[in-house]
Amino acid sequence: MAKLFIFGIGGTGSRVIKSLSMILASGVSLGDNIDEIVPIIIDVDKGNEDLTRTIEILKNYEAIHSKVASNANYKGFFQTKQTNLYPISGNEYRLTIQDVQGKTFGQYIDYQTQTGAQKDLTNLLFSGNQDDKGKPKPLLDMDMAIGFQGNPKLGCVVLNQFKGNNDFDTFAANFVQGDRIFIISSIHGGTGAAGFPLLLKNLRNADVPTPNSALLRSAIIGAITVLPYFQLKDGDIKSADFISKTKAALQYYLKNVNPSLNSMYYIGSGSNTHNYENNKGGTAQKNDAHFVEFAGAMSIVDFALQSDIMIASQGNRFLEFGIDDFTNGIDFSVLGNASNGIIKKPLIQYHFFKMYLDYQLRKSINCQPWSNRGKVKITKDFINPTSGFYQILDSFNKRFGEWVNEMALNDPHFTPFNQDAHLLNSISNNPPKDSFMNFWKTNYSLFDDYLNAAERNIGNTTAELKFIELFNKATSNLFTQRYN
Amino acid sequence: MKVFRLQDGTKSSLKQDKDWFVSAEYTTNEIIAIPDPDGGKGNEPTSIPSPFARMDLANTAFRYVNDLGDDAGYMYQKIVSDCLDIAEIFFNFHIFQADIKIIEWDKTTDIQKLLNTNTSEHIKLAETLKMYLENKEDANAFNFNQVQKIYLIKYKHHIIGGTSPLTLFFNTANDLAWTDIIFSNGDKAFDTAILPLNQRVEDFQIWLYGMRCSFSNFAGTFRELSAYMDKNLAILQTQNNSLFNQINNLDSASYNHTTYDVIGNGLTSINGLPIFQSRQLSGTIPIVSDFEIATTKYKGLRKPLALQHGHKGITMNAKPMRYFNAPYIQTTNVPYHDDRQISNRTLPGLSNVVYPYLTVSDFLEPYLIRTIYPINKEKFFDGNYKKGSYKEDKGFILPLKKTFFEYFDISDLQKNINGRPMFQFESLASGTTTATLRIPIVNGNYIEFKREYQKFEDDGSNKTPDLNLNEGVIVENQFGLGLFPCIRFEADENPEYRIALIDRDISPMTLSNTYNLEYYQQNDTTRSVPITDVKRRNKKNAQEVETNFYILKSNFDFIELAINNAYRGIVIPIFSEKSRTKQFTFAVDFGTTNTHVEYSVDGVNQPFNINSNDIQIAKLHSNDIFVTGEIRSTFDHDLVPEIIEPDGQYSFPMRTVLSESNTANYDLSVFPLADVSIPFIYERDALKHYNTSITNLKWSSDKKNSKQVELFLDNLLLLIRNKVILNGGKLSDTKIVWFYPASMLEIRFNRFRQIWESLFLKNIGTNVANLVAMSESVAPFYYYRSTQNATRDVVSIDIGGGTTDIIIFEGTTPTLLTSFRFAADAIFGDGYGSDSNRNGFVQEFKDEIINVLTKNGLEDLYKAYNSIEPRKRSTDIIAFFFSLANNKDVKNKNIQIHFEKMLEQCDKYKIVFILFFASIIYHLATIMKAKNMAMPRYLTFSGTGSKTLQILTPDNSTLESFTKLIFEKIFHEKYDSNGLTLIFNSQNPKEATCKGGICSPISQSYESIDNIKGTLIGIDTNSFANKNTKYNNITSSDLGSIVSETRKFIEFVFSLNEEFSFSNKFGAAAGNLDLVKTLCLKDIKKNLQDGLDKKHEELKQIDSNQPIEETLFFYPLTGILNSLVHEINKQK
Repeated sequence: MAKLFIFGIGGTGSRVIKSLSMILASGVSLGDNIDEIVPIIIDVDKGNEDLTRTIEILKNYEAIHSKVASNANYKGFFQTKQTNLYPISGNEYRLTIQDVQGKTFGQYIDYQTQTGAQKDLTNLLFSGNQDDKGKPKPLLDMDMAIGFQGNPKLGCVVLNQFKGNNDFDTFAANFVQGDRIFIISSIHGGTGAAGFPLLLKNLRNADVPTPNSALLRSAIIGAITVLPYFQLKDGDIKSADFISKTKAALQYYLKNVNPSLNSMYYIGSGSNTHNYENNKGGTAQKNDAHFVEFAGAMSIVDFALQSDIMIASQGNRFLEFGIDDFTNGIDFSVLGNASNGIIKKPLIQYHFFKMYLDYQLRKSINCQPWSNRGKVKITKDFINPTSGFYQILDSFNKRFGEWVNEMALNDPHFTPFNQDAHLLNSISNNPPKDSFMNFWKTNYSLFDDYLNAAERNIGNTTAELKFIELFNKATSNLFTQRYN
Repeated sequence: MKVFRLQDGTKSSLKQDKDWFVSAEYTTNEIIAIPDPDGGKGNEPTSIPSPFARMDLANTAFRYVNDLGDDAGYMYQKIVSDCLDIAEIFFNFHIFQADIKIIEWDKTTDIQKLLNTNTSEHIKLAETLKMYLENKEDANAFNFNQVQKIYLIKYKHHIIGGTSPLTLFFNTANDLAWTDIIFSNGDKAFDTAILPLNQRVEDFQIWLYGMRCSFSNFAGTFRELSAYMDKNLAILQTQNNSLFNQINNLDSASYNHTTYDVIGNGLTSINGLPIFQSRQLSGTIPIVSDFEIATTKYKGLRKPLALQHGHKGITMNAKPMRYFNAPYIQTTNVPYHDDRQISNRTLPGLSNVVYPYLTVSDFLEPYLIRTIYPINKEKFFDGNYKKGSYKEDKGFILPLKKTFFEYFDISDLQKNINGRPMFQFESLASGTTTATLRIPIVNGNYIEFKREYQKFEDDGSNKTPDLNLNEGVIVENQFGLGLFPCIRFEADENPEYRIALIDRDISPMTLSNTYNLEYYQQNDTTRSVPITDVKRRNKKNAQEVETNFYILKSNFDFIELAINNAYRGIVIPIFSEKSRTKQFTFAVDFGTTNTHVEYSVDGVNQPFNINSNDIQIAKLHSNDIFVTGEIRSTFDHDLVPEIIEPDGQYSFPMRTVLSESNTANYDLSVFPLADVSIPFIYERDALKHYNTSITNLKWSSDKKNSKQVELFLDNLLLLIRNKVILNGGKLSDTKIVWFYPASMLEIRFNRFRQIWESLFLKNIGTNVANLVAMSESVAPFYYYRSTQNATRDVVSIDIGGGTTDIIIFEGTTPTLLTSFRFAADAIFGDGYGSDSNRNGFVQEFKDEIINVLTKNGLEDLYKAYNSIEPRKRSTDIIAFFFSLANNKDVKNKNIQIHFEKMLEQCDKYKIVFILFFASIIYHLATIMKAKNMAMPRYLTFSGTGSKTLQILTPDNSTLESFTKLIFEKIFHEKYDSNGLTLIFNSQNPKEATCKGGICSPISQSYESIDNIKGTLIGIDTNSFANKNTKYNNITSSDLGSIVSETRKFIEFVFSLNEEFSFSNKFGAAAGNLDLVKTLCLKDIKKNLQDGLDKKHEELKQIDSNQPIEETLFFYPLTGILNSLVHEINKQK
């Protein structure tokens, strides 16, 4: 069994990893090739809210997973193992980029003390300005604490810290034969666009003293490059530049990146995109989740599902993502069969799970048999403490809810669930098969029936696992019997 | 189906499918297919994750432009255009090198240096750069593995770009709008306009395509650039076929250092591909400009462009004109002046294109000098002046700079270009005057250099020209200028010029003005023609003009006039350039009182003249209007009048007189027509106060005399040579006949001959055989022989002012010549040591004459008299009186002051003339009798003094009878029936000598004349002087004999009255003859002694121990006649 190291670079990296966490939380399986993911976030912008949210989600996921998936045969919510390589508090999951805080690019390369031809070359290579509150600011004077603001040529210098970087060496030391690497980045930004090729070069050109350098050089590497899928409102970063930048970068990738990859996933969205608030970074950078990020997360699943043999035989694979045409929004009805095959059931299950927790749990707990029965009971004591498993789950689910809502409101709308409908009617374009048979029952009574039934099949285990398994089984049966 | 991609699904070749499906790599086509909603108008994309992103971006830009052409985003087109600008700057390195610096970055050593700094930041940067340079993918993609060095280019200390292994050149991302680089086609580098390769300077295109030809894998290495070049070449095929062919004919050897120059120590791009620069402009590299000045004269390497401010850039036929390898841009800001040397200039509107060009200020002066008179168009180029509606009569000095003549000749200046004058002046009613200079440029077009000169302000407001605005200023100056002569001399003619500058800037505003003249030949304006000397005859003050005379002995073409070293202009004389074919002969009778010059050409003899066709003095001012007197008169006074002709204001014969400037210094050089001149105005006007008249030149014993005589004759010869040349005469064929009196000592004759010879060599030619010396006595004979049939047995008597020369022909052979200093001056002069206060004639007539002059307003003449009179030289005063008869002013007043007639009608002085005439005939007859000669058949009279015969009686037969009587008395025999014939030239007896000389211009040696010379000593009637008869040997007994001989003569004369009544025949006053006789007999010895003393005084200058050169007979008579006149006058 093998690990999948997932490098999420920059804001897009964080957001796709977040989507991946949601998908994995719902119980999507990465198949036989991968049984563990190792998310590694590379972002110089420490204060980025997207990053903060993702880290929180990852931590919560891992906490939940550790409670429920102690058994290797566990299937269901949070089944995929996730590892944090960097246990230092405050830096979890993050490969630390040094010397960027409070520095301009010029200071980072100590431009002032450069002399002669080198200084002139620096001047030429890093010429140009960045818009700073309506005024041009030389690139050399740019503050890097908030990223590279669409200047990957700066990023590739600053981020070139892998060689000899402790965090990178930790990663390398953990890399064993059979492990794979996946890199997430956006093409038009700063950090991702710079970090991706640079990381790739460091992997492909890894050498002693980097641990396992030979393995890294020949590792199976996949990547998703996220092309523009949203437009910023007028502001510092000119969205007009996105396309130009994208095209220039794609061209660069042709020779400098693509040959080094086993699988390249392209995704973007050309039109009908929502205008985002334009923030360069920091706490203000909090972008609503988007279907493209969801699809991006799906690429990781796709990558994980490919066997080594298949990857080796196909050479460089270049993949794109498609769905059926849609009018008002995207739901399961327009997703392809393969996608639905992977995602539909787990996501609906998790949706029901969360609905129940949100609307019914407090009514049924201590009342329904699934709560009161058996050796391990799930009582109000399970959900009431201010800290503990349930609170972590609750936090995670809040993020899940946010994620779903944001994607629904984003453009294009991703609305697999109808939040306004009753539970059983809340799967968009997918009413339950035999609703008439239980018309006398409320939706949640039926859900409780499924939970009670499931309770009978759960053996002696922890409250946390029992709780999750109740829902794994109930939602599975509910989906299988009424929606499949 | 909806695939999440940027490409429009319908337009993309990419597959449509669902889920994550295997599609295809986004290669160039797929990338290009991504629609760009902003059309690439935004900022330059910065998303290439490499420190060398800028190089890649340039490459990307070329690719986009290649694939999409004009549909490529503006940003990409701009990058391509800017990269080409960088390339073009490398190409033009030498043009911009003052502002640019090329820095070499070596990928090995410079990175090592960075690593060596031990600064962690530097090391990190170095490692990153190294990784990108060495990493396989990047190295291949950027060709880093084929290049060692990158050259960075700085303009005005800022990096603007560099060389790239991808696109050869790339530009900075920084905004370069601040730069001011303009290429030779007017294209401004880095501006917002896109300029594709095919529209760039052709030489640059050839360079780039040549580079491509020279490098075998160019297309593979610089793939996108090369593809771009292909596309541009295809465009050239239809739009510039000649360049297309030129480029297609390039081969691998076209790009090398025989055609191009290396930059610095040599730059190389990939695999040693050299980056050359264009060859620095030299004469061998032609540029194609429609503004190139059309001149065959200019000797510089490159013909400058003539650029006119505000030119429309089209020809007269509205065809667009090429400026410098490219069309002229109308907005090109051509300045009105450029302070830099022409060779250091850079073309306006372009950066650092060092190429010569000319602008209006190179040819036109800031000031325009206005004259107070119109220019004399006959003699000077007046600039085609059009008075327009301007009401004043003015003229202008050409405000041309002499630079003009580096390109054009004077003949060009006077021509028309396309039917319009090359140069033109035009005044407006306000006085503002425009000078227009049309400069021919190639293809038959011209450029107009125009400058408006603001009107002259009388208030003295200090207007100054503003060259930036092309505003000139008129200055008005009062001056006269005269050129003598207006001739261009040929090789064998020693040029001899005088230029008179009369500075009349004497108002308080202008008194301090200084003038300077420089002379130039139009083929070398760098050096002025040497000025032999400048003579200032008078220095100016608030009342008086200043006169300066430039002496030049070289030909020149124009004069540069400078006032205060600030106002300048060019004066262009219209020189006479006749071919020299005719033969002239001149005879110069340099007489004591008068001098006559006669010349012959084409078989016609006439007195020397200057008429309107051969004016020698070219005055700048036109005679059309009145010019202030001082300017006008100075030429006549100090140089020469315009016109000299019989019956004119001035004529020959004229008084023998020299006008000498008070500043003349004989210790230094003294020049005729500068320090001294022949004052033709003499006896017509007072000389200027700074001049002194010198008369009595011929016999003066003054120390300066010899030099003065030379100057006088030199002046005459200058007039003569000019006369010859102006009338198409050949100077070297010109003959000059000069005359000497028989009474002249040999030593004096030799001195004269030397003067004549040196002057002849200087002024006329080297063939001294053409210089003919003749005896004054012989010449008239030739004249009368040919005109009066006096062919045989002739006695020719030439009575001048100072000497009387007699030659006796027996048959046709001259057998005896005698000469004595007894002539008109003996009557009219001051005897021995007297002056005009004691001169009876002067005292008798001066009041009457002055009265007539003043009454008739003849002020000039009155002034002339007043200038002559104070020196108390009676001969001068009497000469003045005589001159009035022929004075034009007098004639014009229709009045008569005929001194000869006044004398004729005044009977009391008749006896003086009788004595004078009788003494000469008596002496002649005595000699002939002593020599046993027959009585003469003809007596011919010539010389100014022969006019006294007319005073004696207008009746020729009376005189003949009287003469016959004297001969018969001396010879004691009677004339036969043929009698004696007296022949006169009553009108102008002086001319006979010259005319005779011209009739037979054969030299007579002093010896041949000396051999027949016979001098009756005067002590008796038959003793002739020989070589031993020296002045020092005269004894007191000799003196006594002379006195008795004189007494004998006086008795003889008065005895004639009994047979030939003086009162009846001559109208002499009858009453006083006895008294006269008494006076004549008085003081004979004293007068003789005075005469001898005077002779000794003269001889002191030479050698007093000389044989006597004349009879002593007349010595007492000179004194007697003077006293007699005085006494007669007293007895009124």
